[in-house]
Amino acid sequence: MNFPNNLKYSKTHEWILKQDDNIALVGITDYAQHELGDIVFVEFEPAGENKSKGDTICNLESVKAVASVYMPVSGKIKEINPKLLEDEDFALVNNSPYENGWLIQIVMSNSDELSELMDSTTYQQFVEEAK
Amino acid sequence: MKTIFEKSIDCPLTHHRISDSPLIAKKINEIIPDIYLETDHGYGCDEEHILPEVSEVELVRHYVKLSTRNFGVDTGFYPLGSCTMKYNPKINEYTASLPGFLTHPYQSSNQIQGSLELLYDLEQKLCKITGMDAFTLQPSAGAHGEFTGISIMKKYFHEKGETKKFIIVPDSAHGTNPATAAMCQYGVITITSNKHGEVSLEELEAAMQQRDVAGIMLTNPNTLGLFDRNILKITEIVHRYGGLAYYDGANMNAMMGKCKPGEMGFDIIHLNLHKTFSTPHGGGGPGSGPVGVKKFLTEYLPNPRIVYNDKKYTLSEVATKSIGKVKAFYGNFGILVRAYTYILMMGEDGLIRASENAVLNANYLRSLLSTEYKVPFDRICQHEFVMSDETLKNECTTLDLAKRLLDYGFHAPTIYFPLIVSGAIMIEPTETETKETLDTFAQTLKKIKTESIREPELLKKAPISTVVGRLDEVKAARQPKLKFEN
Amino acid sequence: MDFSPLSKQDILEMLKTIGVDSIEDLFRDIPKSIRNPLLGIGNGNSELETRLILEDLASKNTVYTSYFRGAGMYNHYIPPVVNQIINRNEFYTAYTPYQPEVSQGYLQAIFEYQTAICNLTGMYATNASVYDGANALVEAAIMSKNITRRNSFLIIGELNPEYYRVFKTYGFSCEFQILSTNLENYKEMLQLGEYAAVVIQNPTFFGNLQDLENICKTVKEISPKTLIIEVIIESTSLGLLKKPASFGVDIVCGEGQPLGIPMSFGGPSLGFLATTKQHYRKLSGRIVGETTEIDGKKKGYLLTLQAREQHIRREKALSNICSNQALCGLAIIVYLTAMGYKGLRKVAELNVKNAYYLKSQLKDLPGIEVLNGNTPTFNEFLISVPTGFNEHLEKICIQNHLLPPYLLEKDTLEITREMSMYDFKNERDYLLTCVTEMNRAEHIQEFIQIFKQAMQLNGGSPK
Repeated sequence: MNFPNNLKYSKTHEWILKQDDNIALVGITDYAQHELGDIVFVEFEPAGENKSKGDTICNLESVKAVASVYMPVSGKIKEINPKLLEDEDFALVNNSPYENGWLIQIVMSNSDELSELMDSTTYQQFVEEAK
Repeated sequence: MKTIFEKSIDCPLTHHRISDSPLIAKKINEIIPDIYLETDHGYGCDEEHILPEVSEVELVRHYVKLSTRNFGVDTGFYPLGSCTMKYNPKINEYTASLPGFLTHPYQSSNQIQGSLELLYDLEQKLCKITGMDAFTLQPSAGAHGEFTGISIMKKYFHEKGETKKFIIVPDSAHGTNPATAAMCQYGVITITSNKHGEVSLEELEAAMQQRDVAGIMLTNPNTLGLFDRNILKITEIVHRYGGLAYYDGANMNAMMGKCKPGEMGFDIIHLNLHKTFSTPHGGGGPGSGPVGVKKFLTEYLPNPRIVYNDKKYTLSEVATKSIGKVKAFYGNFGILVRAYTYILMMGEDGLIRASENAVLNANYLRSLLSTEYKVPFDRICQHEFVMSDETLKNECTTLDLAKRLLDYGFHAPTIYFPLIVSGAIMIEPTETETKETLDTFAQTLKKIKTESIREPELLKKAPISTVVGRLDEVKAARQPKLKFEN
Repeated sequence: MDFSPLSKQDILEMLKTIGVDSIEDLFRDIPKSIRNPLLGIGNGNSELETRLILEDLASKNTVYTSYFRGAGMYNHYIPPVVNQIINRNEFYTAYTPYQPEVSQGYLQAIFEYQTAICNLTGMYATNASVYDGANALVEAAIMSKNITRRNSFLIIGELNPEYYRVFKTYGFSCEFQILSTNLENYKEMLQLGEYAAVVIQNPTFFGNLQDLENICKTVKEISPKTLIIEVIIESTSLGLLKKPASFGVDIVCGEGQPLGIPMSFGGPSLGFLATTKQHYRKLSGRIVGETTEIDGKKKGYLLTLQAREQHIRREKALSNICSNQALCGLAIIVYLTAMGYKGLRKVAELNVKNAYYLKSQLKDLPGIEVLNGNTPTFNEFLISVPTGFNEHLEKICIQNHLLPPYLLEKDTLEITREMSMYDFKNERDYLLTCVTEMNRAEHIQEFIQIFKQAMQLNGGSPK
């Protein structure tokens, strides 16, 4: 299982990548996609809405389960991954959770919240304990 | 197998089922302007077919062939837990199709005294069987009954001027329970089952005490097939804090003449006539989900109600605080005729024996299987029991076992439910099976366990004897094909 | 009589295996104070006795030779082949196709049903059906609420009052608002509120054909986010009228009873629910999909998109609906195949023609007014008659085994008043009259004579 170093992680298994001052990319971790199984649909909240940390971003549907994905930090949804939203290529979330299968791009309203998240080593330990 | 649409023949058939109007010679567009009319295509040689165009013999062969690719109770043993797949007596089909019962719903009450008498008497009998004071037969199914029942709860508190925000649901509940509560805009408080598979009284009391709770939704026997021994305490706690108790009657087949939900302390209940009262499941419907209430809630039942007065039956809007209608007309009448037929034929003794033998069959199977399989709550059960896939070897799972059973000519049990047992296999044999069938079924399950040790591939590749093998669910959901397209 | 095959010997052996002394021991978890209550429902009956009791009850009902009443449930021709097929044991004694490998027959039949509904409505997708037409409207409303995140609905034109009543019940429990308006005032109403959807029945409760092209255009102009729900209760009209999809309708819902299901005092029937490509994932209830075996070889069918449903989503599900009306869906696909599109069109045309004939014969009688006499109608129309007239009409009709038109009662008129352009007067009665392909020419002629006779008895003197 893969835990890239350049990302921050939440306890609900989202990762976040700071791209610019207040711009960041959000997705789910390799561990999370593995636990869920084949993702068959992603139901997104509309772009443009302001969200607090912990608010729902989208629901991931597998054949026999549904899981919510939450904002790892507060902010506004700037863009939804068009490969998911328009092309409906949901296998990307399974096959490339950290790259092509990213979920949303956000404008953070308080990038200080990033410091509350885990780094890759801590998250890896967190996952080991959860198993 | 091709769809019926692919069997359409290119050129239109001449249809003789309906003759032309002898009264009007006009063309249709001389009566209705063209702007309203679909252009006259749909069956031309070059057009795609809107509907299949086949001869009657091709139609019959197609659907008879399809029927042979389907498994029903009349095909074989169908131990689907929580669904009560008992035999459907054929007399039911005869009575439900009597021409006198196929009336228009708006015939005036003196033209349908027979139907109203039947419905009235069915309500009375259901009251007696369940210990409730009044019934409505309007709801079309169990979940529809749940909606009706929770709406009654909501209206009751509304009339009392009380704000209630939550419904309590145990973690072993059917999915419809929390879904119904949420649909009626209640928050759902899930309480966990204790080590005996019963409601945790501490959690229940805490929830009742701390939140604005409208009531609890409960199945008893629960989805583990166990009778909750604290049932009187549970309903007492709920009532003590001003809540109401709702009984999901899905498992009533264990209880006839053994215990009445009304006496357990429930205020509102629904029954599934297609389970307990032998009406066919029809491939997933139509069913019927009558709702019964205690006296103080009678005024909240859906209107119209069936009233007997001056030796005459009428459909009347008598419920003063009624939640309103839940169905356009009065219930799934055809299903109600079947259930009534069954109750008349069985009578008191017959119904009691049905429950007794349903419970006997379940316990017998449990005893035969608990030596080979893990039964997490292994004590006397009621109409069903739940075991797990823990003792299967070589990573064979509940799904593999279910599929392998199909190869042996059985329908599979309910699987992966209730959620509180990992790899759950929920078995409900019902009372209409012979000992021999149960013995064979148990032997087969033992054999499957042995196969999991010696030839696990047999399980993992199962089923091999069916018209199709395991299907690709991921593909079906990722690229949904929900209709036939050329 | 009972249906349990266990012998005394079986029972003894089974108890021994279980390790208990008696059947009574199996119920020991039930508190003693409430165990073994008396039922008091009487002894059982033999099959023959039971049959006689039921035949007696059925014979207390009146069966008519000709029905001039519809109002939500319609007497149509059902080819005998329909019953032959749906009575196949493998179909009607099955349950929900949870194990697709042994349920391919039903799954394929429902897939074919879905195809037929989509083709007839022009919509992209449909579910495997819901309880009835009124509940299909409710599901359409819940769907619209979820899509638009808005909470109120606007009914435009005459909606069947029973549907309105059911809609209201759900409005209270699910907490949404329902307003009604007519074709004159709807533009104004649209400007005043933010609606999740408008609800338009076509043909209307009174049988009128709606100018959906214009209405839909107007709705989309004034309130682009509001969805359009079309309600079709007389579903044989799908064989004749323009497809809902051609007007840009977002959700089509309605009643399938006219397509091969007997009236049976109002149930069981079937509700259909269909929508566009944009919204199909918000459909509630079961849906059958096509796929292949895992190794990609053979084609097969299964219940799909299940993550929408209550057994997976529990309190987050879109609706609590669990079952569908599978057997009724099977009846509908067999009916539609037996008729073909040409046959269905013929049924629809015959309905229009028979009703048109009766309407034209009645509309010029003195003292009578056919409110939609000059409006295009399907197989129903509304007659205004002097009070007192209907008692005469009913009496003679029933004597002659004809079910007379449906008298709109006070509360029905009250519900309809706001939705309608017509002005209902206290000193008049309103009769909703229906004619289908089942009303033979001689019965229609007889009805006209009875109608005139009733007028005479009521003091009128038609020329």
